[in-house]
Amino acid sequence: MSPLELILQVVSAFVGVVTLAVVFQVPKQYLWPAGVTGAAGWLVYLVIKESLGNDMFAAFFATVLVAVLSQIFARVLKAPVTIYLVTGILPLVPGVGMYRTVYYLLHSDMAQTSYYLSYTLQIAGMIALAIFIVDSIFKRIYRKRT
Amino acid sequence: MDYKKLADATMLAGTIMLQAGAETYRVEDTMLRILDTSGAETTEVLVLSTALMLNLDDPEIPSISKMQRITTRGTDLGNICTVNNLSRQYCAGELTLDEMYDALKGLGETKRYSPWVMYLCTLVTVVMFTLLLGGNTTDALLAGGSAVVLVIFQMLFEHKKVNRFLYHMAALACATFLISVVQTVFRIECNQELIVAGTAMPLLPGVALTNAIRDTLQGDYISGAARVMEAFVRAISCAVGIGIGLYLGGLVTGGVL
Repeated sequence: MSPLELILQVVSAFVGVVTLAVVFQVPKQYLWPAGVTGAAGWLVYLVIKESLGNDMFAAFFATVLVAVLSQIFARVLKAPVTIYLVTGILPLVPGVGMYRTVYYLLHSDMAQTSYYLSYTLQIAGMIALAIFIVDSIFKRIYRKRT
Repeated sequence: MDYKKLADATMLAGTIMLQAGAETYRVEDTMLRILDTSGAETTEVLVLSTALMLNLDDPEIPSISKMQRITTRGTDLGNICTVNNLSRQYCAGELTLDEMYDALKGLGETKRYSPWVMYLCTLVTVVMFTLLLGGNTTDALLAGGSAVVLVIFQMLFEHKKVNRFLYHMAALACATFLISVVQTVFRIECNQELIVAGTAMPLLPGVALTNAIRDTLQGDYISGAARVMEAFVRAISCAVGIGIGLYLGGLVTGGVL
């Protein structure tokens, strides 16, 4: 992937996440941090996927970044974490995996169906794990301070 | 202190937050904070993802218990944010109880964005996500077309009493079917899977999934399990919709299937 393509992808991620945030009724002043969170997550996802060729790793570390940024934005801008987290992780949700699962199921290709089903569940699991870890860490730090 | 009004305001705040798709612990925390301003001896709240309950008791007053059933749930991150801020201001003493109650009452009527902005944003989201998934310009254009189908379904059913799972399913089936047909009739080279996945993006259960994880982490297992279920059902309804669309498309075009 050329640098130009990478930039285009990150810009589309930003625009896509901001418009989705509007659909989810996020107030105007929080649109840009949501977009930044989503775009940063997508950048990390692409870079890791291109360099290591591993989707699971990419989804995991991208979600870690999204979750950390969400926590930071939430504390700095005094608005709930959910706003940034929910919109930020959406580019990482495995929509294509789900499509392929259904597609191969309809073609009665069970080997491919189970492959893509487990792929979809694994990516979702990686996202879950990353949110889980970052949440726990931040809760620990926050508790110690207060 | 007007305990009755306090209980009402607390319930209203909780209801709005839960209906907007807030995490269970956030709803419980907010409600408890508001109740605790009364200084009553017993303040207790229980939030499940389908109902909320509260109890307020003190030697000087008769005990107040309230329960509220939640039947509609959507995603309104703005409302979560506003209720959060209102309760913070109230607990810090910057707002009186009446001011907070009126503000909460008025929340349902204020529209943050006009419907057309929302429809336009849905369209742009679908196009952008198709590009993110690796689509080219043709794919993006077709995705715009299938997003229009989605938006039409939203216009027709969003605020009607139609089962959300059902209309998501129908919208995706229709969009998938049309892409199959257009692609075959006009002999366009495109990546159907990217377009369909892009179209499904605004409907996928991202909020339910995230909340399911966070609720479970907090130890709210009932809500966590309920949300996992919600995410699962929504994902299945998307998948079934795509399946129906692909099947019908295959029948009409006589090709792949």
